[in-house]
Amino acid sequence: MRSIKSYLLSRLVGGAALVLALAGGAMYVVMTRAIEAQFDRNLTDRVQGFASILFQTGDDVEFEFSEQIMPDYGRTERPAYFELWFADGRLLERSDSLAGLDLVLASEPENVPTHWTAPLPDGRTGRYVSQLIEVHHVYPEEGPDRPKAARVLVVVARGTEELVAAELEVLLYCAASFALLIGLIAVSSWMAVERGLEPAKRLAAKLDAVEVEHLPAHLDVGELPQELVPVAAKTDLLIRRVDTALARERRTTADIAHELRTPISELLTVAEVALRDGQDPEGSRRALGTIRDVAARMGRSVATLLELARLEMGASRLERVPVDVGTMMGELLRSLSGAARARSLEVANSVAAGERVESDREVLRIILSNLLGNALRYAAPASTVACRCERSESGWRLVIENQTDELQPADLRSLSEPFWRKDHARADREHSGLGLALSRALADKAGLALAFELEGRTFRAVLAPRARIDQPARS
Amino acid sequence: MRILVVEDSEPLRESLRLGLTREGFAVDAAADGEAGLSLARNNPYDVLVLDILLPKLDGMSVLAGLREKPDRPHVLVLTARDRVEDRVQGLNEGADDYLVKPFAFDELLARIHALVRRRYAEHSRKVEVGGLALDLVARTAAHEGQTLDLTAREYALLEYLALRRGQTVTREEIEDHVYGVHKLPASNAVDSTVCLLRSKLGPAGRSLIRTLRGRGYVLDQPRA
Repeated sequence: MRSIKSYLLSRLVGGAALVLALAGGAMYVVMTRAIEAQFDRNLTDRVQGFASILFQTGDDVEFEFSEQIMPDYGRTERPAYFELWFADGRLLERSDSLAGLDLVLASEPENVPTHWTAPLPDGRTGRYVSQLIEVHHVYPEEGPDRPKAARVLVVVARGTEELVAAELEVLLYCAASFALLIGLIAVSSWMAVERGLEPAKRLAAKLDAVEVEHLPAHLDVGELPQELVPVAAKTDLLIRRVDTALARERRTTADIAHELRTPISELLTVAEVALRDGQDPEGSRRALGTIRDVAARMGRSVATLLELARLEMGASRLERVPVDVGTMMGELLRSLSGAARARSLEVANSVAAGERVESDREVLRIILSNLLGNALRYAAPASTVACRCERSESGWRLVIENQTDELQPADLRSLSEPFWRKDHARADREHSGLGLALSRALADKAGLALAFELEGRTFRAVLAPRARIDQPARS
Repeated sequence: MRILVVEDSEPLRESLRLGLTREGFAVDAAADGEAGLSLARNNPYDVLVLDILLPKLDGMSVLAGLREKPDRPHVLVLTARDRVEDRVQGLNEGADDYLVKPFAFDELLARIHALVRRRYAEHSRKVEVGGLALDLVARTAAHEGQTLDLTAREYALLEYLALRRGQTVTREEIEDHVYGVHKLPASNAVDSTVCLLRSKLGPAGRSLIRTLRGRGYVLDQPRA
């Protein structure tokens, strides 16, 4: 549908045109039938007129016809015709207009008027009527012995020009009325549709005026018809979502810019300071080492950002297989044991070897590595980091739990945003703040859900199949 | 001149410390806002080079914490935030200049020199006292048209005396402004440097720096 307005107008005007055409057609048929019936009645009246001027005296039949009274039977231009025949086939009289020719009968004569259409002797289309009539006696006092009344066949014909002209006139009236009504209906429909669509236009104008940089808190479109209220509400909701997504995008872009600007500054300054005193080989060597370390850190950040972008574009392919999460957890914890010892952390891992979950193996390894790394990095010193797998009839939940004094409930929403760190400054330069963002994106991609909970000092990262994340489970 | 660099990025912080020290500044450095504010409150810095996103206490809070300090240093905000509103906020909070990362070290130096000149109400790039002429931008000194071959420390001391020409400058002030907090000089380091400066100024120029016994030094026109 290209346009609601053209659709409504075409349907309304088209429907009205159809109804009017049917009604007009029916009216035309009825009216032409009436005109034709009137025309035939006129012919029949002519027959009766002839009957009234037939007289019988004894066996003689007299026909008192006068062209002065009925001039159309004698004129030369578009004349009418008649013939009167006795029942035995003898001609009683015919109009001068026939000039000796006969009218052609369409059927056997009857006592009732019979009408038909046939060409006239002069070639025009004509309408005929025939009827057998009984001649009146002039002298009824002749008594019961008077001769039997003669029967005469009267045939009258006249051209149909007037009939056709009348029918054409009716047709023209019908067509003109049709055109006028259609015009009126089109105009009123257009006005109604315009008025009906005005709220939609108002809504469109409001939306058109919305600037992506300044999304309104609420789309104020005034009073709307009932049908458009849900559209406006959904549009409002959509704008809120777009606003949130744009804010996140802008924040991420700003963070990326910041994360890249800082190491670029480091590279530039280290290099410039080293170049200003080229006579210091040891200083140059240290500067090169620093440049290498900074570049490597930048490389890791860029690689993670690219991986995130690939995940968001759906470019990476994941494979779901049963994974021995107990063995994987054990390997990861062994590789991180130094970090745990350095912070005097106790690790309580109750995920037994052989415990299996469905996931992409590499994705699960990256997610668990990030979660465990975060837990060991941010757990309160000398506290316990607990790892467990909870099972229920509906599935599994992997829980990594640590104690912390750093987080507030409001922080949970930001945990998996790129570059978010509790301390907004970059106190920990070894970690880019991308780990949890990558983990959540990977979990989404793998059909898993990664959620964070905070109960008092206890922080939990929960990984589970997407439909399971909110359901309670038992260990 | 004494500078405090508050920057959480270790490579940047150490490079700034090294580069600015080589330029003759006395440089202290702090890795977070709390340490930076503490140093700035307790030492007479001429210029504070301050990052905004800092651990423990952000740069804006450091600026706010220094608002009431008498003779507070001029502040150059050094940050990756480049939005106009960030700059406006920084300047409104009391920053004297704003430099966005990444930056050229030469530009940073030029801005620091400009802040130093502002601090000592020195609007010209050249200071002339008697026959002594200092180019504060080129960081060169000449006496009677002869360029002096000075070390960075010697130049820094001479520049400090020249910026406060005609005023008595105590040894403690020289130590505070020419030597960093982590490089406290030996008790006679200031006297030794002044002695070297006098010898480089030659017989005609040595009387430019006078010793006020028990009080300090003053750089001024030689007395007739």
